[in-house]
Amino acid sequence: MQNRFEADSIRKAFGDKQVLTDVYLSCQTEDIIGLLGRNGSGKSTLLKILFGTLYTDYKHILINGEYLDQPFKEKGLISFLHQDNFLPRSMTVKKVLKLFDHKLDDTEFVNDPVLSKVLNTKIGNLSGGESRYLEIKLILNLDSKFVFLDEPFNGISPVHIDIVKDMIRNQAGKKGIVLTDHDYRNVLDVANKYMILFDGGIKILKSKEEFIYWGYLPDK
Amino acid sequence: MFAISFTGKEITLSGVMYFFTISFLTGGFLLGALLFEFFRSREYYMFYNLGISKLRLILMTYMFHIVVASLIIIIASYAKQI
Repeated sequence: MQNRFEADSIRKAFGDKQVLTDVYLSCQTEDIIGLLGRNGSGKSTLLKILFGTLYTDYKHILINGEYLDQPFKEKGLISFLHQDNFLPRSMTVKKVLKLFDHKLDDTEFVNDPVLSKVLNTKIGNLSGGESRYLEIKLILNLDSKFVFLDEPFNGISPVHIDIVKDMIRNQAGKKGIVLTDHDYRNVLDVANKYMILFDGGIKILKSKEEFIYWGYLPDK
Repeated sequence: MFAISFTGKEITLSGVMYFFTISFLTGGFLLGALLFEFFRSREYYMFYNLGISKLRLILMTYMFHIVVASLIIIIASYAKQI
């Protein structure tokens, strides 16, 4: 089934700095949108507003034609990967899986080559890459129609980045995905649509030259 | 009697428990919530992904505090009788 997420008229300012100005973004099932932008352009801010956890006076979000003020409160709609580690450090991997158990197929995780070795390890004792990998896998496998990933490749080793990209492609068959990361090569490799946040607005891009034109990549 | 306070008044076990309950439900809870907000706010995203809002989480936690406080008050009232 095709699901459609539409966000319109999104504006956000922090003090005197207008970060987002009338942003429009639409995403549907099978989309993998690579959202790029310079530091401070508002990528994380935008994703949090779309998820519903960051307040703004100006936004209009529709999911399958239904208006939603805080989409995360509706079950089975949206999942979000925060750019920083968000799992409690004192919980073991197994306990975290049990917490999400009612939404996940447990064997998928128990038999995972990375996670099977650390099931009884506390989150705080995992390496940065291991905890990030666990978070990505949890978020991608949640029962949701849309997934927002904020810097998923941050801290992941190159061999595991390929596994993560495969996970994203597999999930895109039944979900719409928006991801943002400074590792633009991997974003461009996995995404099928490209957007850039520039000067508070979103531009849809069709070629690598346009990334140079909008000042995201250096002109070489 | 549990101890003598610096004012010379008697401190009882039940009195300590009642006083603990009051701070557990008021300043203690508030301090815990503020510390969580300051040092561990990213963990809210685990609950958001489970469909639980911050307000709902705080209310559920406070309800749990009330249950624990009620048990302490019941125990304190028995301690008073001993």
